[in-house]
Amino acid sequence: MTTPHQPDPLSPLEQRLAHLAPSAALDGDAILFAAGRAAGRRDTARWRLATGLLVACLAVSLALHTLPADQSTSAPHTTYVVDQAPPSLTTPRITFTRHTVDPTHHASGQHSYQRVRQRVLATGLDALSATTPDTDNPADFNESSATLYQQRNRWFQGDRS
Amino acid sequence: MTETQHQDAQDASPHNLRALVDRLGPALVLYARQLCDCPEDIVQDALMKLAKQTPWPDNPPAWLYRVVRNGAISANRSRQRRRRHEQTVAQMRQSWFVSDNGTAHDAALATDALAAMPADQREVVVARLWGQLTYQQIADLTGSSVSAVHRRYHHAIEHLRERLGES
Repeated sequence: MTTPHQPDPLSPLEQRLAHLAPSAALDGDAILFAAGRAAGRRDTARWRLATGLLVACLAVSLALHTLPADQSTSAPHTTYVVDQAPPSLTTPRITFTRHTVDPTHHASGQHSYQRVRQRVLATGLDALSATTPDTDNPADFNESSATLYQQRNRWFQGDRS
Repeated sequence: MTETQHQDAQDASPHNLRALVDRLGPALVLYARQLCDCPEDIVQDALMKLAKQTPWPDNPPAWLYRVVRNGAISANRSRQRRRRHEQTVAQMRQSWFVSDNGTAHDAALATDALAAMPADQREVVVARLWGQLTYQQIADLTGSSVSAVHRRYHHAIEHLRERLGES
């Protein structure tokens, strides 16, 4: 009697059946070729992953190096600026007296011209010698006009040196 | 572990894989044929999976039978509806065994007798006679107890004896 764990030898029928060779359309060469290709594909997957990582690192590195300096980093950096020359100490300082301007006193330059014109028309060219700048108006009095005025007065007074 | 199993438990190499294909391939195809209509594809996929295993399983034949069984059942589920009728007709016409001048008659009779057998008994007989698996391995493969496999096998042998007229 056979038992599950100690089976008897095969009976003649079982031996006869076991001698029949199963038919199979297996191509051993094709299976080995496919197995080799699968094994090769498995190895290349690792290399592809490593290559991809390296390419990604290289791309990030190139991108960081090609960006402008002010965009690539926020670290403090030195900037060289041409200093402006200090104001000359020899420049004459012109000071004006503080005064109140009449709002109706518009176009001071035009007003002085009109006054001189009226004097010339009334008294002739001698009125020019008596013309004095309007020292109350800063627009009528500056350094050059004051110098010209003094030189003109000295000329009329006979000092023609 | 038997001597055959010890020889199979080797590292993956083309030589060992070729030896497994030559020794187990036809029996695996016959086993897969009991469960699906595309046995060669299932066996080839199983051999591919074995080739990718590093290292190989301890018992490659048992591992292969398990993978073939799972693959055949999955394939049969997807194709069962559209090929239910074609499968039966095609399998009945094609001999499952190599038939030469001396065994042609036995091959045809054995094919007919196996095809007429219940699927669970047929699976056990094929795994035992042509796969040379032990009852324990067949029990692990089919998810049954060893005694149930033993009982199923002897019912199948009695069925074959009646069909083939053996005393």
